[in-house]
Amino acid sequence: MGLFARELEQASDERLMELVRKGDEPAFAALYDRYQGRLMSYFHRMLWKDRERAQDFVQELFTKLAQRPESYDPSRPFSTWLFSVANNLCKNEYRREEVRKRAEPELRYNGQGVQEAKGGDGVDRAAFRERLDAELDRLEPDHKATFVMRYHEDMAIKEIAGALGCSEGTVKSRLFYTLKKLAERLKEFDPRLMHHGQGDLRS
Amino acid sequence: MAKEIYDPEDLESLMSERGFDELLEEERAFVLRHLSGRDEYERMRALLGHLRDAGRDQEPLEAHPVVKERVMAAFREAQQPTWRIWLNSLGGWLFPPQAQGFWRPALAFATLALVVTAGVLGYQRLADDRQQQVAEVRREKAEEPVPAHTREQATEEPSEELNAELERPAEAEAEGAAARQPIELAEVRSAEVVEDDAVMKDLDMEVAEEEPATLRSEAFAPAAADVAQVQADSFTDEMLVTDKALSEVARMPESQATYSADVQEVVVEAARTNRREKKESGDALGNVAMEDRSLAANPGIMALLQPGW
Repeated sequence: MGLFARELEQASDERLMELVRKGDEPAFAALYDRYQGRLMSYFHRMLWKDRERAQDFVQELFTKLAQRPESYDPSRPFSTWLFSVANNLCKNEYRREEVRKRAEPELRYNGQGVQEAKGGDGVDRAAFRERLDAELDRLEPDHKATFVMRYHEDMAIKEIAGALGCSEGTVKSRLFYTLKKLAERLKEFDPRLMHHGQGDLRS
Repeated sequence: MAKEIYDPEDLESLMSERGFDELLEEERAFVLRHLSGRDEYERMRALLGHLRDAGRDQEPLEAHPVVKERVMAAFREAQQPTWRIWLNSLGGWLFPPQAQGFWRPALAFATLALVVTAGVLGYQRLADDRQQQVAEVRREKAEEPVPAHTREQATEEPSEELNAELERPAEAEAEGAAARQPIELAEVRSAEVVEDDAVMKDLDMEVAEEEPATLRSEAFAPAAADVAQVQADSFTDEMLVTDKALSEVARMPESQATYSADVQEVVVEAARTNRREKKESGDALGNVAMEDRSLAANPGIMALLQPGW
């Protein structure tokens, strides 16, 4: 039996998924509305800032969910399960992209083309985001997924561990080394260095 | 001393709140157990700050409404009963969107029509074989004694063309027998009359020649009556036998016409033989009477009889 709109909004993900398994269309629509934005952002980050591709992946993910709702394991949190599926889709896409990259070596991942951050009092945020995305693309897929889930999707360590199918210690370790590596590669955006550089120029 | 596990939540909270110079001795010791020094701490702190700012400034991404429509359509399709999906696929197969796809249903229907036609023709051939078998059975049944009027009705039915063809020789024979029947009957009856008249004439002649006196006729009257009675019985028997045989022939079916004609001839022949035998026996009786009459002519015997009279 379906729920009213307000009840659907307040119902937990797991309850909605239970209704979806019984064929409740409004429950499925509520789940879509609840997660499509987060998944869109996640795919957008994970798939080289390609909005169209991210949209395709959102559609693919929810189509799989519509066709096989019984594949959801009720013992797991829905969000964790959903992001694990999304992560697997991204991994598959990375493999396909690897094949494409071998066929067209100069088409993508050209770090030399990334625009350098401009100096100044403030940090050029657009330039930082662009550079950050470029550096994220150079990371291992698992490290990148961990980083995106943690710093873009604001997921807890436990959730990330559940989504990626690893221990919480592994997640912490990945996050530490990713953050350390990115800080080293993006040190030009360190305000102290920028101020030192400006001071050097002045002097 | 075992290395402490890095806890990003602890370290991040420190980085987000204070710089390296602002950390307490214990906190700085904790940081230095994981990081190389002040520079690294500050770089990481700056990166985390940029990440927060970048996330804050970034517009939330939304999928296009078309994506939702497609996803909901996929959900509705997945919830359809299996038979409806099967019907939809059948409709798509029967009425393809492109004209080039019509050859599939056309070929399928042509094949189906061919199979149905072959099946109907095969069934008809099988039915014909069965009808021939039934016709043979009916022919065997027709050989049983059936009243003439029933047989005629059966032979006049137009649906039994094959049977009519098969029964045609029997009918022809029956017609031939029927045509022969009156002639033979006439011959038999005329022969009987002639022979009977001849017998009676012979008897009369013999009686007239051999009867010299009334006494003699009175003396031989019982014997003559016996002869006449025997002849009358013989004639009656012959007529009965002949009439019986003819009635039997008339009751026989045309299919047995040949057989009945033969039987009729045999019966007529038997009647002739019987009559001939009776005639001969009658002649024998006549001789006995003549002998009796010759005894009456014997004077010795007559002398013996005279005292009795």
